[in-house]
Amino acid sequence: MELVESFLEEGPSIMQDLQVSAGASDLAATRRAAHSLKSNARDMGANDLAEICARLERRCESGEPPDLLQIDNARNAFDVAITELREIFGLGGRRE
Amino acid sequence: MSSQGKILIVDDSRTIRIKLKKSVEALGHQAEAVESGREALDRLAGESFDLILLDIIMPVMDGFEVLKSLKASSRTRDVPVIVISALDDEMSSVVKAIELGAEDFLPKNFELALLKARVATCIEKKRLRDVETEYLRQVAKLTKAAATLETGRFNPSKLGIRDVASRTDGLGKLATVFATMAQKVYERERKMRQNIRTFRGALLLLACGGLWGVVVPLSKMASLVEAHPVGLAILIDIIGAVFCIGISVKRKTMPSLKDLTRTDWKFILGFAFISSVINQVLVYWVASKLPAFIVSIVIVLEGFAVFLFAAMMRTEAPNLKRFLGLGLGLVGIFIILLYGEPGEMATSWLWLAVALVIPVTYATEDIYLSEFKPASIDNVALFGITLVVSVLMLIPLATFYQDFIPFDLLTGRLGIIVVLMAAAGNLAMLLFIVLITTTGAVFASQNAYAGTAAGIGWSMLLLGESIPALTWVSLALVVVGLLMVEPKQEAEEEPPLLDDSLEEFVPRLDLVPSATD
Repeated sequence: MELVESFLEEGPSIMQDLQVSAGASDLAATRRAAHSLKSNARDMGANDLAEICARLERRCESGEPPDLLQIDNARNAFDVAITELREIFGLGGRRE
Repeated sequence: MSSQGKILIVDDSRTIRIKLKKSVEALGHQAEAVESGREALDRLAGESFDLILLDIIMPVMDGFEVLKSLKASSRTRDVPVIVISALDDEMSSVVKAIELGAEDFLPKNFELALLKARVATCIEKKRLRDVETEYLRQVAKLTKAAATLETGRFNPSKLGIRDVASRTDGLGKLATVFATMAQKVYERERKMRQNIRTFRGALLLLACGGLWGVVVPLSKMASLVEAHPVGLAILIDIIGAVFCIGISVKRKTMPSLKDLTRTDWKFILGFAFISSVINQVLVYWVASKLPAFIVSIVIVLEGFAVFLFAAMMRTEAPNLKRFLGLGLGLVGIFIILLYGEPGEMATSWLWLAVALVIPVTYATEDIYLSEFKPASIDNVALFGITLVVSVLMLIPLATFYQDFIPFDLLTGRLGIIVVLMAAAGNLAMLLFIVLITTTGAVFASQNAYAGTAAGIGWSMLLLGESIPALTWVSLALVVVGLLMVEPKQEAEEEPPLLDDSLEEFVPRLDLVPSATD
């Protein structure tokens, strides 16, 4: 439960880092945010989000700038994961 | 040995930190978590950990940089590190981390059983390595102590191997044997050095006493021409000052007068006053009134006065052996006194009482020299400056008493006596400064015995008396006595700096076979 709460608190800022750094074409920062979000998503069982983040991380590693469509997909998958976690664990609160 | 350890978790993700901390604590370990590499290094600088769980991908300072820093420091290079990796796509990072010195890796989505096994293995290895490091450190201490011993200057109680000797294994036994041997070597060498000092001191003492002994009969001879104690002291001091300052200037050891401190001047003024104004004038004055050999005998009491002063001031250790040595010297002198038909002593009991002040003022001079002489100024230069100050102090006195020696007297017999007195008296004083600096006031005060014995001999020789055989017996007693007194003990050796410089003696752990191999 504490882990889920931590993810609900920490996740939105990592997601925002991902979007901002991708928008600024900062590959290293995008890779770090994708990596962090991927590990957290796996722990939360959000496999779709983890998979998208893993692809993003590999892309950054190979030196390619992130595809903005991938970022949108990540955002959507993140929102879905957050919603589902809140429902499953009965937690309210703000949405990003 | 406890299998529970203190673990540092380093990960920028709060969620992962919580997961790892809870897991590690569930296994019974103590855990601390930090969110950056910098923070981890700061913690490790002041705290010890048994294991580090380290994320690789972190902002600002990544896991590789942290690993490099950890392995570069002797304080942290032996703390095992397990890198946390997402495994699927980071194998090359894991390989790199292990090449940089990481012990193992752990996937981020680990099983608790795997975490338990890896953490337990690492902590056990760390504990074995700690034992091994401590063993090597103690071997290094022993090696360093052996190297110190080889230099020949050491203090056995400060070799820093007490903790090694308290071990119950073979190394402890070796350290115990070593410490015992070091103690024996130390005592033997100390004794040997002390014997050399005694021998050198005795030679110096006899030379000093022999020279000083001639001063009293010479001053008696001078007074037979015409008694001018203050004028005589002025002339002798001027000759001494010219020689000492001349030698110092030639040897370039003469200090610039403006470099002398207030303390130096205080010493010079005090020394000039005691040595010339009081002692020199007193001896020349008393010598003009009493037979020379009686003055010499009275001076022998200097040794006892110094011993008493030094014991009262606690500057030197009084003990029975030293006391008996002084007593033996005194007996030697009284043998001469008894044999030398002391009928003449009745000449003037009042002057004898005045003469009794001499040993006390001599002893004051000995203690003053021994305790306050500035070590930074060359002995000859210091004595030269003191003689100039003495002359300046004596001139008003000589003017007041009209005690200057008329110049025409100096061209005759008196001139030769003055030159001889200056040579003997000043050289004796220089030797005495060296003697008192190296052997201490009590030992050096025995120059009074040598001086007295020599003085009696010289007065018999110069004043035409025969030397009885018993004089040689009494001289032998004086020599035995001074060997019993011994110079003051040398100071203990400074302890070697053991813990600051062990590095060169400690074999690198990665170069020796591991206990777990």
